[in-house]
Amino acid sequence: MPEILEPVVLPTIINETKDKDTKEPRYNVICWNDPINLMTFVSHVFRKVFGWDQTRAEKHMREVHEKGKSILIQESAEKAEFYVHQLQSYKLQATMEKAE
Amino acid sequence: MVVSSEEREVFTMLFESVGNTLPHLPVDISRETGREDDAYLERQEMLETALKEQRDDNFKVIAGWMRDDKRWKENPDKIHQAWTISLDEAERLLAHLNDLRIGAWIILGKPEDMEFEALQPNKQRLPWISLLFTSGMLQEALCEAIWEN
Repeated sequence: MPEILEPVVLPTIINETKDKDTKEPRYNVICWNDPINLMTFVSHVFRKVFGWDQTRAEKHMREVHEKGKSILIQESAEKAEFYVHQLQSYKLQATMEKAE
Repeated sequence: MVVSSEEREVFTMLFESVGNTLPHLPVDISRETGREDDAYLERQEMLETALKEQRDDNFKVIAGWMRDDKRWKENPDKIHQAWTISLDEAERLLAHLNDLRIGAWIILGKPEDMEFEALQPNKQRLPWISLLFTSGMLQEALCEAIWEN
């Protein structure tokens, strides 16, 4: 008798697509105003930590000074935490919060 | 920094005199409100000690730079001398000046209003106010110099 071949069932490939809810959440890094750190120093820290030019650093510095805070950057949780620690090491008031 | 020979000595002695204030200068430790458990307080105390040691060590290193004749180059006018530090060393000095400034601010009661009169100058407070403003002025000059280079 001829050999009967078993049908081969190929696995179904499912393309996984992440919907909005399952994407990695983003976090805002926020710098808060305080009475002690000099504006010049704050700009300097922004340039050192983020590699910004003077214009961008001063823009965020003025926002901190005039509005009480500035959202500096939006990143993954891990990177945001890193930046917060960097800013805090310069004695700036920095926190992170989940972005909307 | 370019100064005359006399100014160099005054500036160096002024900086060294700050060393006498270090035992009195607090460091800025963020404390969680409501936490008074022994383990937490012990960790905070260890952190404070470590930060003070780091600050005192920074001071000794920087004071050494000031006393190092090799770092002082005579200007062509033969009257002034230029104190030379690398960019990394400038960052270290900047951080140290900020530590001094924050320490003085804590002693003054963490005032929100930084105008001179609002800081309530008197015999006891004036040295700390002086430290606050002097270190601030040097910080600003240093920030400018760092980015010019």
